[in-house]
Amino acid sequence: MYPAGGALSRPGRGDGEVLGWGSRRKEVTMASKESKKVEEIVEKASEAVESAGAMASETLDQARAKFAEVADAAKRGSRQVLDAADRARGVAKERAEVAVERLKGGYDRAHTDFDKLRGNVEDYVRDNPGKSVLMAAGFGFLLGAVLRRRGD
Amino acid sequence: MSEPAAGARPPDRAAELVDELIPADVDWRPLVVRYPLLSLAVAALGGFWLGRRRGAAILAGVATFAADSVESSVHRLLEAE
Repeated sequence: MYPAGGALSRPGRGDGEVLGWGSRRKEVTMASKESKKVEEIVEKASEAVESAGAMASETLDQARAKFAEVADAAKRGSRQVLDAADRARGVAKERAEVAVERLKGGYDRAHTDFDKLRGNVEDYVRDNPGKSVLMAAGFGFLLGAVLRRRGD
Repeated sequence: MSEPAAGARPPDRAAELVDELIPADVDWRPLVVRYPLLSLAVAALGGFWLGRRRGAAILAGVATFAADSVESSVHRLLEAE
């Protein structure tokens, strides 16, 4: 922005002061140097931005890959846990069935033994009614006497 | 006292004792044969009740009777010599 007629006025100086062609060339050279510097800076800045973008993209890709790995591992882990839970459930069910069978067998055996004992007692009482009644009464008598003494 | 016939069961002294303890109009044998376990339970309860109520007196009487029996037996033996 130079005034017409080749004169250049500088701000801060008097209105009548006019610069010559040498000074103007020097200023133009300085301006072009500064412009080059600015271009370099802009270029470096754009390179830095590109590099940062590339790095960010790479980091993002790595993060995605890691996330996918972690997700796969979590899926595998959950599948293993589910399989282990299924196996444990099967084993527990099997053991519970075995325990129930044993309990049932023990109950049946005890029931049979009790029935047999009751039958034997009934047969003995029918064969020896007087002796059985006296024995029962004597047992009750002794028990009552002992308990009374303890109570006193 | 007549001897039991061949093949017949010997007299049941326990049954005779129960006959003496229980009133004569109560026929207890068929009841015991029909309800054996219930009869045992009733007898045990009766004995328990007797032991609680008169246990000490009955035991003292039995002990006195036994002591008298032993004493009379010893006396008879000594007199015989």
